[in-house]
Amino acid sequence: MIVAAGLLLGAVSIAVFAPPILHRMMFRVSPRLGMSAWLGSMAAAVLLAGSAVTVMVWPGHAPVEGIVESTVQCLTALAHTTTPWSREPLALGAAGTVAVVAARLGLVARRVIRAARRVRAYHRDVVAIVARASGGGGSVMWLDHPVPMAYSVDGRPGLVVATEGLRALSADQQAAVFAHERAHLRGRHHRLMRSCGILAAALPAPLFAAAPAAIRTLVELAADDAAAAVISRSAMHAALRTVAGRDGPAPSRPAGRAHDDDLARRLDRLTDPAAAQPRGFRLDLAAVALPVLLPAVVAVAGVALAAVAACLIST
Amino acid sequence: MNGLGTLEARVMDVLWETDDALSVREILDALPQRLAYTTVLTVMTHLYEKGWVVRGKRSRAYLYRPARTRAEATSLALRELLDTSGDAESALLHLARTATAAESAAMRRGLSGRGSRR
Repeated sequence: MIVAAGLLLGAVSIAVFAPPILHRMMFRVSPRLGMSAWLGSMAAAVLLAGSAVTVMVWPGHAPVEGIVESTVQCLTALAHTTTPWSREPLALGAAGTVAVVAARLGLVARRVIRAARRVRAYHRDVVAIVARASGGGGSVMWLDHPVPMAYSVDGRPGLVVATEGLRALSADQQAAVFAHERAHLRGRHHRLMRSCGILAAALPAPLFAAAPAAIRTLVELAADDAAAAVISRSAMHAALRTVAGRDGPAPSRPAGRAHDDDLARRLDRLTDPAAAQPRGFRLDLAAVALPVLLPAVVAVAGVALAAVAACLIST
Repeated sequence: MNGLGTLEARVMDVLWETDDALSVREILDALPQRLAYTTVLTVMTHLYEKGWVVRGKRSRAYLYRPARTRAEATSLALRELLDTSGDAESALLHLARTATAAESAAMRRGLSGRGSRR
C-alpha cells in the first residue's frame, strides 16, 4: 500500500510538475535531447503508475513491499491498523482504472491510425495522379500550384510533396527543403507525433497534454538542423523565410503567437552558428534527468514525511 | 504504389496533354509501354468510376476526356489536404506551419485566376 502510494505519488508528480521543467530546459539542449527528455518523462510516469497498479492488485504482499514497509514501520503500523479492509476495493479500483485507460488508448489509437491511413490512401489515389513525379534522385511529387509549400507523409514508402511555387527558390534552398522533409521521414517523426497525440487524447494529465506541441516544435528544429548540416544553414534559413511567407507582401494572419514564436525561434537558430554547438555532456545529462529525478525526489520525500508524521502521531 | 495506380497517372497525363476526347485504342497508342487493350480498358473503367474522366460514345466506342483540368484537380486536392486536422493532423508535416487561412485565400485566387488549362 505504501509502496503503491509512493509510486503513484511519483507518477503524478512527473505528470504534473515535469512540464514546466521541460519547457524551461527543452531549448537549451539539442532538439533530440529535448525529445528524449519529454519521452523519458512520459515513459517514467506511465511506468511508475503501472507499477503502482501492479503492486496494488498483487495478491497478498508484493515482494518489494516487505522491504519498504519494514523501513517505514510507523507508517506501516498506521496503515495496517486503520484500514485493513480497504485493500480489496482499492485494488479493484486500480484494475478498473487501468481497464478504462487501456480501452481509451485503444479507441483513440485506432482512430488516429485510421486517419493516417486515409491520408496515405488519398496520396496514393489522388495526389499520385495530379502530381508530377520528379525525374531522378529524390522521388518528390510536384503539385502545380504557385504558393510554395512542402510537406512529408510517412508510409511505405514515405512521400515528399512540393508545389511548383517552390521552384522559385534556388537549387540549394530547394535541396534544403527536401533534406528537411527527408529528415522527418528518417527520424520517424510522423509516428512520434501520432503516438504523442494518442497519449494526449487518452491520458488526462498536464505532461501528456503538453507533449504534442512541444515535440512538434522539437522535430521541426531537429529537421532544420539536419538540413543545415547537409546543405547549409543559410539555404535552410532562406527557404524557411520564403515558404513561411515572411518575405511576401501578404501580412501574416494572426495565426496565434505560438506559431510566430516557433517560426522566429527556428529562424534565429538558423542564423546563430552557436545554436547547434554541443553544450557539454554534463548539462545535457542534467537536462534529461531533471524532469524525472525531481518528481521522484518529491515522491520519496513525500513517503518519508508521511512516515515521520505517522511516527509522531503514534507516539 | 501498385502498377495499375501508376498507369492511371500515366493515362491522365495523356488525357491532360490533349484537348481531344480519346478512345481506348488512341490512349493505348499514346502510352510508351506495350500494354494489352484490356489492361487499358480496365484502367479507363476505374478512372470513370472514380470520377476522373467522363465519356461519350462515338459509333460503338467510348471516348474519354478528363472530368476536370489538372489545375482544378490539383487545387481541390490541395484544399482537401490543407483541411487535414484533428486525428490526421500529424500525418502531414509541413515545412512551415503557415497560416491556413492565408493559404486557402491564395489558393482560391490561384484557382479563379488560372482559368481552364490543360
